Amino acid sequence: MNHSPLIEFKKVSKRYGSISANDQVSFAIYPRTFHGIIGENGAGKSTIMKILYGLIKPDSGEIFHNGHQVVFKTPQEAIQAGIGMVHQHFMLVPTLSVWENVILGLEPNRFHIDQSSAISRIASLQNDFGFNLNLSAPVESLSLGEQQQVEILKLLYREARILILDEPTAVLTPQEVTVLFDKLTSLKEQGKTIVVISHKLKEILNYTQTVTVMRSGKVIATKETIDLTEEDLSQLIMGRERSPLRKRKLFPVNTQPVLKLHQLSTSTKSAHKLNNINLDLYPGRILGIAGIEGQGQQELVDVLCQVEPFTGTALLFDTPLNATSAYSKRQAGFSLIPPDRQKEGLILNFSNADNFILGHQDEDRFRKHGFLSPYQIRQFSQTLMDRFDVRPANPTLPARALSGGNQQKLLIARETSSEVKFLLACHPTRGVDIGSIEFIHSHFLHLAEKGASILLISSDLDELLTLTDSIAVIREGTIVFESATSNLTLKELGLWMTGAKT
Amino acid sequence: MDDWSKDVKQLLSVTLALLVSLILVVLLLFLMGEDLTSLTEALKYTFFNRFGLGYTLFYTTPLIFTGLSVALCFHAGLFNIGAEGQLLWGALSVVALAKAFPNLPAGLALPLAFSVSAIAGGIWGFLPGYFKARRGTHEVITTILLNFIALSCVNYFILYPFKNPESQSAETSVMPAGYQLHTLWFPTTPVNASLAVAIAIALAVYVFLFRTSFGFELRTMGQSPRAAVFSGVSLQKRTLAVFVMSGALAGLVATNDILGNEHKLIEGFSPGYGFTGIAVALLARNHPIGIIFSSFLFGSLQNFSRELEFFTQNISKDVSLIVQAVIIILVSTRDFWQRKKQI
Repeated sequence: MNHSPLIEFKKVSKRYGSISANDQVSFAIYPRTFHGIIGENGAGKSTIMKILYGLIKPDSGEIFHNGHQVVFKTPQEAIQAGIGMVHQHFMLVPTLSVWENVILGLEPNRFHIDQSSAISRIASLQNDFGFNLNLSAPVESLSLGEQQQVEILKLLYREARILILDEPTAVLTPQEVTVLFDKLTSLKEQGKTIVVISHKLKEILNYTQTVTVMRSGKVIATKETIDLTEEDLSQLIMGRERSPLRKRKLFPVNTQPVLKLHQLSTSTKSAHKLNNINLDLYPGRILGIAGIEGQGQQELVDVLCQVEPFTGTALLFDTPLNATSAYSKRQAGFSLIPPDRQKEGLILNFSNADNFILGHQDEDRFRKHGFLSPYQIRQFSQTLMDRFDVRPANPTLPARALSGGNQQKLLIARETSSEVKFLLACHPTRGVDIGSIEFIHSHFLHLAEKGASILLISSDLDELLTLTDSIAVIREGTIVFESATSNLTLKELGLWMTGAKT
Repeated sequence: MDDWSKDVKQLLSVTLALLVSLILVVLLLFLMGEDLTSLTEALKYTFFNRFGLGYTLFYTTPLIFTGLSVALCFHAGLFNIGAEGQLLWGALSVVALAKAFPNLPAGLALPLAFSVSAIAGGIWGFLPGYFKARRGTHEVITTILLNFIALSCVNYFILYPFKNPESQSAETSVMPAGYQLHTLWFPTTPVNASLAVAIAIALAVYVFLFRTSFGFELRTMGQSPRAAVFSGVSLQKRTLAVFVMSGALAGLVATNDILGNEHKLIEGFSPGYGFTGIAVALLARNHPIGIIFSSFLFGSLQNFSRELEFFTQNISKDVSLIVQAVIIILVSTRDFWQRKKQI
């Protein structure tokens, strides 16, 4: 690379109390490159980009843009300098159309919006950069992958030359991931500079040219991606070698299923209602549900959690699902890792300690003289946080203060702290860093060895193939295929999922 | 730790709001050509003598009840705009009880009257809870509409079946002696045992919310209904229960104003306690103990403006409404700034 750097960080530091979010961060981003920033959750990847973008004020250090020192106080100033950022959680107005979202904040005139000229300008942008969105469709009708394209279009409309994407694939299906990265690569070819924050090795290795590895707030290395293997990269990220998943001791065969679904259907208006589902899950077995997002997975979870009515038979622990309350099911050993940990699994405003008793709030071990005892709850959560290595291990902090991976570890710690007979795990490692993924996977194997049955719903096919005993593919609300995992390949699964094979 | 510093900030901003309001009142007095000594006199008769403090505490009590009523629902993510209607039924039920059993001794009549007022308010709270739980009808609509129904029904009873035939105004007859609560610590003022009950209940609500699993579940559903459902909580049952409890709290207002002061039900006896309760809860950030203090603040405001009207020529007691509005605007503006910074 013979250019001079487009962005250069020099010894940028940011501390929160005793924690160093960024410690003397120095690296450079060159123009017209695809630059990856990788590291575990809490490594400081997002922080350094938010500092550049004017969202966080650094404690010390300098940032250079085209060789000039800059300090952006607000995102608006960064955007004016041609720097745009797509956040992990989209900032779109669901009820407004695509074009309205794109011009939002940049309306040419305060009182009147010239719809046709705005649309034609965005249409020509779409044309130039190879997007194909329906501009008048409301954003809420788009898939998550398309919504992300709207976010990118917003930045292009603002003439951003540097596009920063924070964990862009966290919510995407494998197909959407490919589409996104192809699009980003073509944007790079047209002269944009792309920065992607990620913790997924494959994405970084397959698409980026340069990668900066961060760990505990420090830059460990900035290297040409082509010089790195997957093993090199994971070692840089974790500071140790990846330990291969151990072989699990299979729980003895038992012919009495823990969960039995027979001709189960739902009748709600939802487009992905379940249709004639048959599944059996035996003790100590792990059954995977593969499928493109939105094929009825959510409905299956809702049925099992007794939120959605159904017809057909559903037996859990030999009793009909609706014969007893959801609470007594949980008490009987039904553990749940819901799809959206922040809204369905945890209460972000509650302390970590309070989050540990959610679903167990009636149990005597948290009480003293009949009332909840904050002391006992704190003790209990401290023990579990230490055991599951949830960081920072402070029960009094709100769950909001934890990174995504640590929130997930907290959730798993809670759900598996009492005896698990049936674990419904939805996307347990989505948005979770490699170190934590290893931990979660080996914990699942441990549970299955002790006899717990696990129903694993995931869009990560590698995860399904390494963990499960058998896999069922769900499409349009129906199980279209089921097989022992040992007979399956990634390619075959993909064909069943997309409907190329029926 | 974090929460504690928030409480301190809240206290500071309330103090600031009070200072601004005080300046506003001084300005108002000045503009209306009033003597500034009327301000010091009014303050004296609000806080600094037995008579004044007694009345201030008397006005505090109903606001503790309605503030708690609103706050309890708030914690579960529900809006109870219906405390006004609930407290009206509470008041009517006490009068009806006295009519049905006029000769009960105080030892029996008073506990019964407390329970009956809570039950009547609870029943009126059950209705929006039922509609919400079973049909998903928005509780803001139903509680507001139920207020109108309650007002009309209670007024009917005051004007017809329970009307005091010897009186010219719209009011019921005076209740028998067994149903009268008398002033305790402040002679010649109506402050009564209901205040002690209100404070005790505020403490109980605190324990309920933060030290029982039921309260934990309510707070959980207030934060995220789906998380509550997934942890096994039945939203329908909790919604019903919290509305009944909220209604019961509002119903208890009767013990202060009817048992403790007038000993009869007068049309329009509540100057909007149910609605001021919303402001009380907001100011206390729904904290049950904080509600005791914010009720005292709004109670003293009410008494202060009454006194100010007495000591001045041209100023009406609506001043309290202005000051209330200023406090609420200033306190919520602080939230507004804070939120803006976060984005």
